Amino acid sequence: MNGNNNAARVKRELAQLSFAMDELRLFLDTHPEDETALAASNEVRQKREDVVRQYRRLVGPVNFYEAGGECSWDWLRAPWPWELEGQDDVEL
Amino acid sequence: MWSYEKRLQFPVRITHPNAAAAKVIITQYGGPDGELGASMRYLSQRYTMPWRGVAGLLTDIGTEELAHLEMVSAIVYQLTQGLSADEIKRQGFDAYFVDHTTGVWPQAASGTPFDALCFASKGDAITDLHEDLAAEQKARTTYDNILRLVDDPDVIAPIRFLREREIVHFQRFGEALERVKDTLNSRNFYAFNPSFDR
Repeated sequence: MNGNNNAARVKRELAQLSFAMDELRLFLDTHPEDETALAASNEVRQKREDVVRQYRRLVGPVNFYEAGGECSWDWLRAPWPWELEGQDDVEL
Repeated sequence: MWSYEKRLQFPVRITHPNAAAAKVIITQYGGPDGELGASMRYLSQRYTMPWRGVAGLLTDIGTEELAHLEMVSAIVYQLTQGLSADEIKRQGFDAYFVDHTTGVWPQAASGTPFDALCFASKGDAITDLHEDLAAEQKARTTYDNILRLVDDPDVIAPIRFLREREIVHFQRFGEALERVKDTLNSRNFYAFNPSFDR
């Protein structure tokens, strides 16, 4: 149960931090010298890097370049994102 | 190149199939103001965009539109799973079903196949940015219309998210157009094509 709760937490955090980066990326494209946005981007990126590591351990690799495995290809471990399976713990 | 992330930009979890809703929402996959046209529009236009920041914006919004394409596909897919042939018929999905079963294919709500004529890549920075501003508003209107037609909260949440992104993209394209106009050569008062007439 604890494992499921942790997986739900990292899924939510990854979605939130990634979205913050998506938003900052577009803002910085039209405001490339904005110091507040640059500082926010650096802060969110560091937090996201940590969450990506936790996500890989609890759910699976989110990006192909992190995929691998000892005895099976972990890229296929989690369901594809359009599948309903594995989404019970995702908060809208 | 692109690097796939195995996640949706915003979660899609629809527990009540509804082929009638899928039939209208599929228009944002392959319809005239859908996400396929949106991504192809920006990713095609960026090559002749002389400002590096605006080419970056076209790349980044074009990439986000691919993520929206995936969200719309996930909505259509989940709305059409687990239905009987009889339910498909009653929910008005039989004409689509006979050609594609429940495979996801780019078409408008009317059944018209995706057509590259629904977007432009004109090779003129100012013309293209005006096209982009209009495109974001047309997509926003389409999402407004979808929200008038659906009542399932599981469907409404991701559609609202997509609608909000159109507004943010419109804002960013507006800023890009201002930047382009501010930096035009002072002799180019009538804004002749800054991508070609250097």
